[in-house]
Amino acid sequence: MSLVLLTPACSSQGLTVDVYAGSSLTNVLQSAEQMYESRNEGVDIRLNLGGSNTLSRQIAEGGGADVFIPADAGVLDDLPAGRVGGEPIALATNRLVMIVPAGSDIPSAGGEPTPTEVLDWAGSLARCATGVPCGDATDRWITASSGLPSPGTITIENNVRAVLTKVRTNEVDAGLVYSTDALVAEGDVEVVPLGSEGPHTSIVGVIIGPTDPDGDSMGRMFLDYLASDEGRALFRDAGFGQP
Amino acid sequence: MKGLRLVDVAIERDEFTIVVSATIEAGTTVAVVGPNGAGKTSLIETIVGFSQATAGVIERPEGSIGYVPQDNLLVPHMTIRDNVGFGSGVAGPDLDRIMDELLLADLARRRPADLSGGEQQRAALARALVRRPTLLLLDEPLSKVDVELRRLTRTVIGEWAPPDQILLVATHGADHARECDVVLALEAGRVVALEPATVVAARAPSRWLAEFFA
Amino acid sequence: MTRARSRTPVLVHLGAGVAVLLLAIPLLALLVDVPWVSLIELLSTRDSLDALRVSLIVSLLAAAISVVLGVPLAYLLARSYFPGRGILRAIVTVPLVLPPVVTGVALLSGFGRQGWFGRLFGTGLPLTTAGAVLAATIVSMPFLVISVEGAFRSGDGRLELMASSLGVGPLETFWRVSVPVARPAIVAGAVLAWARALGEFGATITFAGSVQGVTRTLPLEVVLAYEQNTDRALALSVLLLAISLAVLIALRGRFLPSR
Repeated sequence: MSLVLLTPACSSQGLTVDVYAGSSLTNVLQSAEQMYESRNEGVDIRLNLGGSNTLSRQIAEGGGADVFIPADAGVLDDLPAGRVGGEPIALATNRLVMIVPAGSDIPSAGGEPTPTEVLDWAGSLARCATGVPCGDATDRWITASSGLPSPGTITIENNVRAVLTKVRTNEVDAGLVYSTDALVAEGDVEVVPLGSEGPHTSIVGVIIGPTDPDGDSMGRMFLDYLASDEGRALFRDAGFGQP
Repeated sequence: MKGLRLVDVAIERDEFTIVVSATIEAGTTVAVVGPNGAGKTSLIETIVGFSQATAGVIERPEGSIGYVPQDNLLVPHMTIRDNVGFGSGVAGPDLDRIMDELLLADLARRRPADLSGGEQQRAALARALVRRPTLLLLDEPLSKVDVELRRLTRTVIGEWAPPDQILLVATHGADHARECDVVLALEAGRVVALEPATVVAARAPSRWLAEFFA
Repeated sequence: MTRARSRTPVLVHLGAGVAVLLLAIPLLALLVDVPWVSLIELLSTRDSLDALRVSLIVSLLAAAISVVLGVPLAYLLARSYFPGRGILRAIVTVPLVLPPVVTGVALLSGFGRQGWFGRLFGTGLPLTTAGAVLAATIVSMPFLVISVEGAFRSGDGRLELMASSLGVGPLETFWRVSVPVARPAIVAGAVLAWARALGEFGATITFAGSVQGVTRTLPLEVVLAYEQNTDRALALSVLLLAISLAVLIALRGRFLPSR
């Protein structure tokens, strides 16, 4: 980063902050990036979005992240101790919901179908793999609510957006995603809440170190922005819960 | 139609256009002669139907056509016997006989690649003859056949010919040309002679023909 | 007879050496990292065995379909002249350069539950083994078509003309002359297509999904296992590597050009 500063002839004479984030944060971080960059001229927020575990592995292998925002705080446990610079900052929460393609005709005893009724009806289900945050949340829910019926066909995806796409394109009858993902696909999918057993995840951001002091402070400033009232509002608009 | 008629047949080549008009009666043997690159093979392949004439009409005699090209065109993965008998209308006893007469019986189960050039030519010839074609076209058929077998091979060609057979043979041998009823001489795509060898030899319409028959 | 060889320039040796290093280093590192002691145990889990079975079925079927449909297609491209032939060739070979994920998305539009196929038949091919085979076939068939078209093109068609002049019909000529002459290229193309089908990932996960024992092939299982148990992912990778190498070595020299 300092190298960029020392070469004024370079056209991109700005500061770059590399933000690695789970794919469920795609939309909210894209909005935040736009706001922040328009506010701070010369600062370039560079998003690397993907499965949180994959990103965590990239960081462990020496990937050049300044900030890491996984889909669940638990992912941070896998990071080598030396790479987390400072305490995690709580940004938002998310929760797991069931979604079905819009217009699905699910037989229900009450007015709204329950998760059990959906699983009884569904021939196919998409879910995240065990090991990725949304998959671990799914496992927690299945364990907590014993005796759930199992659809005949279960496709296991490596990140939550792949599950969303499968439901959105109506290639499966149901899926388990974060409530914020369901919001992104509003109109294409309908949400079936998991009720009180529905697991929550907490979204935190950390500075990844050791990097150069400039990078740390730039990353810290972006994290502070996300945790500010304005940042919180962006998370709220995207359907996240407050930390 | 028993003869072979070529009416203003034009064949495009890179260097020149071959233009031929000729009427060949049933039962005639024709030697097609000319310098290298004169268009002999192109003319033969057009008569066979391997290439298309750009203009003109070709009337072929009724019945089957036999053709022995310079590269023999034996199917590489078939045995010699299967090659000779390939296609329709070959009777079993005929197949055995032609294999014997052209000394191919011992090679019956080999593949073309295992044969010498002369043996391959004999196999391709056997394949053409066994159908008793009314029109037989041979493109330098004996060029690789051993000298001591040439006489035998020519005899076999004669024995298998149906009475009305028209035989066109492209050759570089003056003696061979003299044995044919008619000589068709091509030079740079033009027919410079279409008459008996004795007449051509006497008239010598071009320097090349004069040297050829000298 | 041993033919004398001309000397190879040093620079060529150097380039070749670097190339070999680049190709060999990741494979060697993989072999070093693999937990050999627990290899059998890791590979005999239900998930691993299911993935192996699905991979073999899908890749072999894809290779077979590629041959049955790709050989006629290659023949048409090599030997017939018709308007739009160039466009047809581009369509056939575009999966070679297209990201497999894009192929998967296109497959959804064509054969998904919401796609043309779904609207006609009320159900789609995603999440079925047929769907996985379709995805693998589409990405692997171009390898066969290119290999075989070259072979058909190098024959000038005179052998077929000769067969026709002998009274052999077009179908028999194709079957008994053209196809056997192109046999080495067909076998080489089939092996390439099979290898590509075995390694197929993007189109399969996008289109067919990852259903255990149905569409989850070895590459999909590797990516999945990598999230949970790196050792199992490494073991599965070695299994894939071993299958591919075994086949390529077994066929080397016999069908693929080598000297």
